[in-house]
Amino acid sequence: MTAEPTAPDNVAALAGPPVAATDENLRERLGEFRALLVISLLMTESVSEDQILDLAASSAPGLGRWRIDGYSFTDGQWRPGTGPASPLPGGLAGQGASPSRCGGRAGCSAT
Amino acid sequence: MTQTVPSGIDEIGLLPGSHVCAFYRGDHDRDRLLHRYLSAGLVAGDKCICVVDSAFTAKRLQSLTRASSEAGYSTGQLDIHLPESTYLAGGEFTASDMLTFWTEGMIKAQHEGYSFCRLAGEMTWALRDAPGVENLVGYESELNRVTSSYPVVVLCLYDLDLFSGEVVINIVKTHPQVLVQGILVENPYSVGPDEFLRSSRI
Repeated sequence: MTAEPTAPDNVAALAGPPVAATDENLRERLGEFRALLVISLLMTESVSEDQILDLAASSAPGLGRWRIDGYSFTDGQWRPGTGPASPLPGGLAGQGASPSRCGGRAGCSAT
Repeated sequence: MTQTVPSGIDEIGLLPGSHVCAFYRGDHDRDRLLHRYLSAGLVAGDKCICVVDSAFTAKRLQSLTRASSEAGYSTGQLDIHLPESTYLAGGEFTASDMLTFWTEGMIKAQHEGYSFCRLAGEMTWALRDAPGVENLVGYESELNRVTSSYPVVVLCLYDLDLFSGEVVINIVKTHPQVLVQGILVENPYSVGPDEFLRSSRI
């Protein structure tokens, strides 16, 4: 199995430079998947949309060097996320609405 | 010894040496988990050592466990401590001191004739503004080394209403087992103490 990081040209490189797929790195990724599984289980027992969003937003920094700027809902709404207010990346709200209801890749231009 | 012991929670069995983190929401859920976990230990004749975040919780837990396990309960079988005398003794968190606290507790229990220990820690103290709390993840990783050397099970309790998702992610990474929604999730990729030390030096 090869795991070469690939990304479209217009995707911002927020996660830093590509990391070699050593055993240790792969194991770390698997550990993060396991943590994501737990986060998912915790979301299913959450009693409100706000709890789920809080959990998702506050989990993101534990998985990489990125931040939550806002939430895009399938009804086309955009809501700012936690953290300091910042201008929305151009066109992100529109692109966030483009994946299917089951999710999918969304690209964003580096700002 | 490879047989599981009953956790007391949702019919989940734990192997000796298990280091489990459990996530819950609110005081009621915490009391339910602690009550069942400790009651099972008292009935089994285990030495139970527990750290909770407030004197109120300690008092309530003492009465709950006493009421439910009168048949197997003996004086001195359950020790309940507060963070001020354990995790935050001296006003700061020192991982090595806390590991010594647990180790000495287990050795003392062995001398008192207990063949098995059941430890629990409510981790809310880590949200206090005290020096050293930033070493929590390293401590959790190092605790794996201690638990693997003794006939013991350990339950670390984290309140989801208080801890962020980022902490949850990092805590899951350092625990071989995670108890969530009545399901015991195995984490074969948990970060061991040596690995954690290596990565923190980079």
